[in-house]
Amino acid sequence: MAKSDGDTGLRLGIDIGGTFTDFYLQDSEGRLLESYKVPTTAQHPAQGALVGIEKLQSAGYDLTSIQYLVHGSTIGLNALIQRRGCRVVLVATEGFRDVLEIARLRLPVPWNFHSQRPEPLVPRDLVVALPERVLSDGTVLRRPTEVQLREAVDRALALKPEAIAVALLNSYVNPDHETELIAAFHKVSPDLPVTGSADLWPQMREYERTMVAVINAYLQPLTSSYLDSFERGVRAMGVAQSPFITQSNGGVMSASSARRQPVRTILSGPAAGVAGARAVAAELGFDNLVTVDVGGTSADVGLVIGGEVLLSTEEHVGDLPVIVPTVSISSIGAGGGSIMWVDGTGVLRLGPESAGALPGPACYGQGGARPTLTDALLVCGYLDAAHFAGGVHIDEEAARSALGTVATQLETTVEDLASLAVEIAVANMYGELGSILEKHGCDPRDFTLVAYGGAGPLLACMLAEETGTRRVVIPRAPGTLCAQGGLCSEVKTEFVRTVVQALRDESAADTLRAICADLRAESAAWAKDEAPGILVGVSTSFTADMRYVGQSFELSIDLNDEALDRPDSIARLKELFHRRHKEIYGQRNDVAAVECTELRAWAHGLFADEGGAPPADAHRARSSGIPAEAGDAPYAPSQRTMTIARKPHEASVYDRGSLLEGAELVGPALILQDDSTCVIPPGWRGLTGRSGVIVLERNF
Amino acid sequence: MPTSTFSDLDIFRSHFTGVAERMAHTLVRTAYTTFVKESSDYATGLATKEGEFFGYPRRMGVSGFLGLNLGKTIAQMMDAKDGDVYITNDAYSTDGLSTHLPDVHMIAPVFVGGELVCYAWAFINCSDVGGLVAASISPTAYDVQQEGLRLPPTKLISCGETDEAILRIITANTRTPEANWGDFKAMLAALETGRRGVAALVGRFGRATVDEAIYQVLDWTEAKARAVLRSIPDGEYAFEDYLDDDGDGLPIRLAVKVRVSEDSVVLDYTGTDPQVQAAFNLPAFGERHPLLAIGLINFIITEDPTIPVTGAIVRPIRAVAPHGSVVNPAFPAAIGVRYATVIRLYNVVLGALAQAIPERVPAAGVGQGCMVVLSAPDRATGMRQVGVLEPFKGGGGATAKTSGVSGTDPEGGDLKNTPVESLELHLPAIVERYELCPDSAGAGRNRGGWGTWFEFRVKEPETVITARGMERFRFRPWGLAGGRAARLRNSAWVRTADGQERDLGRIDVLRAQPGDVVRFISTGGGGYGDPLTREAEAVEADVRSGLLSAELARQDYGVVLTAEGRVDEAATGAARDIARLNRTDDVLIDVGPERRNYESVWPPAMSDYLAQALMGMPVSCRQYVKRHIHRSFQETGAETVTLAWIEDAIQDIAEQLGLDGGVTPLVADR
Repeated sequence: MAKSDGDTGLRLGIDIGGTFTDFYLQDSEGRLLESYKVPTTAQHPAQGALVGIEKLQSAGYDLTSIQYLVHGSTIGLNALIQRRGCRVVLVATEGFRDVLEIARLRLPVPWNFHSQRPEPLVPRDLVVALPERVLSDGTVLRRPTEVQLREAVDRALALKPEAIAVALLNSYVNPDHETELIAAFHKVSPDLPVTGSADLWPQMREYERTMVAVINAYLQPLTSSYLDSFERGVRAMGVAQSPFITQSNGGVMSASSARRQPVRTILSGPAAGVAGARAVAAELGFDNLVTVDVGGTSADVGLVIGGEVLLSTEEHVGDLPVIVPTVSISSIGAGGGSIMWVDGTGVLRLGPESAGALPGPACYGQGGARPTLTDALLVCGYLDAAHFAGGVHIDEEAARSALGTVATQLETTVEDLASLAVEIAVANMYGELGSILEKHGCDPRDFTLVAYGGAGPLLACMLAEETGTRRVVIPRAPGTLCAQGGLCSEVKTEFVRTVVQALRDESAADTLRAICADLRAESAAWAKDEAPGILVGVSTSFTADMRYVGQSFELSIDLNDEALDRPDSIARLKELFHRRHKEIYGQRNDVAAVECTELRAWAHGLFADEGGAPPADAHRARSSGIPAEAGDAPYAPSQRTMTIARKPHEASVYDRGSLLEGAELVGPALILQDDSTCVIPPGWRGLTGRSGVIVLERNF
Repeated sequence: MPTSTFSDLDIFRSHFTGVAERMAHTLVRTAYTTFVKESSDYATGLATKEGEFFGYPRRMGVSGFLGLNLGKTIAQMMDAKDGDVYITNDAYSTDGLSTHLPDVHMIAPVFVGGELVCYAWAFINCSDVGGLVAASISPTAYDVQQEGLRLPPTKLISCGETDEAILRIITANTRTPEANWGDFKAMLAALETGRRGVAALVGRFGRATVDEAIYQVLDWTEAKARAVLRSIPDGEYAFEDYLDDDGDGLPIRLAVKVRVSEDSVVLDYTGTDPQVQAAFNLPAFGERHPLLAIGLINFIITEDPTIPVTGAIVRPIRAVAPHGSVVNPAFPAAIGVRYATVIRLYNVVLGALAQAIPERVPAAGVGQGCMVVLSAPDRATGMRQVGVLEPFKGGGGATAKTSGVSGTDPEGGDLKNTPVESLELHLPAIVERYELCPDSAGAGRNRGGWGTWFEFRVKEPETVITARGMERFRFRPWGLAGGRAARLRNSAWVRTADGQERDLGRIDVLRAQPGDVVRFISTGGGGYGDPLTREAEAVEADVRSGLLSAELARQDYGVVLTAEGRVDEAATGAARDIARLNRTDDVLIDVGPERRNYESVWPPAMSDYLAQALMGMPVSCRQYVKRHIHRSFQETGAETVTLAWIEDAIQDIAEQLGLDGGVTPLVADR
């Protein structure tokens, strides 16, 4: 690590993962200065992050010149998965105490005798029932008296909660009872954190909305204390800038928002990766992307369609639903740690069991004796002992010995076995990936595959061949893309209102207009408080979730709230819906009644042009696409034998750091760098772009 | 045991499953109706030329159809050409490929380079195919002709061209022509995805390799299924269970003898009651119909979650189902509500397996799958609006490892409920309570899951509530290995606006008016293991949660709590000692007093004998004779029926009806 001169506006991204904490440092123009990893300190994650920042100081960087700091962590996610959150008391409507247990009835694996829904985050004896009832149109059937409110508060407090969640039936349309109850809690116990479901995410569906409130309450004390210690530490080192925190929606938010709404952070790590992949590819002009992140314990894909990251409101974390908009991430495998085994009939299998981070693959020498995908990749010749993530020592003999046992069982060689394991890994990933593309109606030939994570660039071209994707992009620092992604993410948030409004005639426009005005005001208030001095305004757009009456699924349609004044605005909106329905489902029904179920506002913070810390929005910054003409073939310092599809190939080995713009790379080749290796199979050709990105294409 | 000759088979398994899942995604994405999108009542697959599925989705759609065989249907697709698509919904001409008329299946041959490689298949539960009632399913139907339009395998698309004449017949015979055609198009799109997927595989690996891999993957599945079955000790294991009512007030008895021999299993349903004059008949023709074996198939997949998901899973299983019985009915038996029978068969097969391997199967769950449906006039349109309030099951059975799940049962565990906020928006009702039902779970070291309490207030005049498929009013969901049966809590109840309360029993249809409060309660699942060995703290926690009363904690578990709700160690120890001393019954399966009483009058061996005797009579007489004999015996006032008495009674009634003693059943023309 060596300091470059004249850095006045440093931008630092930090992402805490399960094994490593990643750092990505840019200058004010978005140029990469440093990218590195330090081991995550699981017990005190803030500590590992601070150690990593100190490394910059040691290298001579002036930490006071860090103008923009973005931080992502798995604190919330891990606490949720390991059930280490706080003791939450839930107040629910009388008659609905089992909302968390009944959930949506469905079992995770329906045919399995032992399949269970996840244990509720709040057990039944910590659920307090409030006698109250609001109807679906917002009218009050039963109003809780002062005494009843007070009783509910007393009963809840007697249960010694560390946080309260309030989620009452139909509060999404009329939150008055929730508001009154929250006030009653504040009066008695002003410091106790209270999350109201309608305040946080007023969407219809009681189980899912209650879950959002409960997860939020569950994570609140832990997230707050983590952010406190991180901020204190960073300030003590002279970083004046308060950090932004990555969110599950692929954007960032202020630390104080993260303290209030920790539920929005739980899938932020993978979301930042997809945001980073989008930014890297946008620079090259590619806007239909399959993002593939293969790490030690997971292989995840996301989609970018027409330049927009695909969001979902149906994500799950450990079988718990999360309906706040979240970057849609699907698992397509268990990553490098997937264990190889032979089933009773002599067929080689891979996973789902994983060696995880500990003991990890056999080649890590941490006691793992069973062969993993990573061991197979090593034996195939794809990994380099000198270049391995975070300086981990890898031991090929240990890998060969672990594979040897299985090879004997199958009466094959270690090399053939390793290659077969890679083929199976790719086929299994393709099985899942193909389904995901089909689900969203995407033709793989129109897509570019962006590969990152330690093992993504190893498998990218093979997976692309299987999928029918013609182009592969490898970011400059595939191992730290999540940290980089945070730096190119916008400050943003969403607001929702469930309306369920039949769009019979133009009179419906009044309702929609009123709600849009409400949402716009809410959005403006948010922008004012979110990052004073940094954000100077907000850009708000609207979508309407619409469907034919009787359908149980919606389509999201862009809504221009300013055009709602036009006399034919509802007719136009309906036409947009019919068209979209035809586009996606192949049919439209002009005589069927159409209704709108949800209005959503999408708020993007606007940065000041000067001062503050505008994100060096990569796709806007400057053109750094791929050169039209290939330059000279670069010097390959060495050759190595690698195995692909059970055949040996002599591959040229390149050092990623020494590749100049325009460098042409012809497969079979290997490109080594500190946090990843890229495998270029025969038949593929690559070019290096100005910012060091590599674009690979298949010869047809 | 066949051993795969190549270890790289998992590559092909991935590809085959992948194509089937892409077909499923195409279908869901382009389908129109809630049945498909929300209830997931569809499936897709790739089948061999013999009709066995080698590609089937793992996590989407209906899993229970995995073992269906297309063979009989394919045999009727004479000279099918590239671009042809066949349609059928008929059980009687397809060996039970479709098992009731709303299940519409489509099959297309897949040709690559002019050669037939395999068949692509898709099915959906269609909104309506005509018949007596909307949605085509009524328990009171007594023949299949009342249940809607029957389509034996028929060519709908010929070389890419839709046969408009056939389509017109289909659309003229449904209440929902547009929705049906929308869903049909989704199936056609799914078949096309399948065709493309297979063509790509042949292009990538070559015809010969793909051909070989198809059969290798099937053999591999079979070998893995056999490995699981081999772990069951050889022997014959018998069990039976009952549906509440055959329409004449008598229980329908479903009996099985599970014969395990090394790595194969025969499910012998001899002794099961004759087919009924109601829609409970299950047209499970053929030797290995999967709906006769769901309990066993789920057992295999539970024991070996990594088994390839293909139809070969049923190869080691054979079923014997007497012709003219409720599990192999003669034409034209009505079949609309066959799923009630499937649910009970699941209990029957697992009860039999429990005698061999109690620690590896669950106790009985609630054993019903009921849809509470509301229909009310729509003031704006003058039409009636109809919608499902909630799907209504109950608790699941406990296992040696786990307590039962609450509110649902792994049999039917894919069912999703309707959010209360959503149903109140769309239907004129106010839900007063949607919670678990206290004191409903069977006691055990692991207790059963809790049942459900669903109560709502009617808002609109002339509302009609239907709740078809309510079961277990007569006999309890049984407990296993010392676990107790769940109590009989299933009920329907109404309090009319004027304050009158009424227990409705097992309702089919209820008319209700504004202000009426309707309550449905379902019971929980059976328990597993001796309740006296349940950790006292776990019992304390159940009491603290409010789902177990202190009284039942003491009575069922011998756990005594202090006034503060803590375990009273001394009193608990004493209560448990006394309970152990007083224990009289020590049975593997606790079926509860009601069934013990019934079987003390009609012992299983006598029911078996009667059922087999009835099989010698014309199909049309069987249910009448059964009823006559049961009633006559009741009139005798005797305690237990005997073989001699049954023989005499049969003789009498045969004479009255002018039947010779040994009349063979009429095999009706299908």
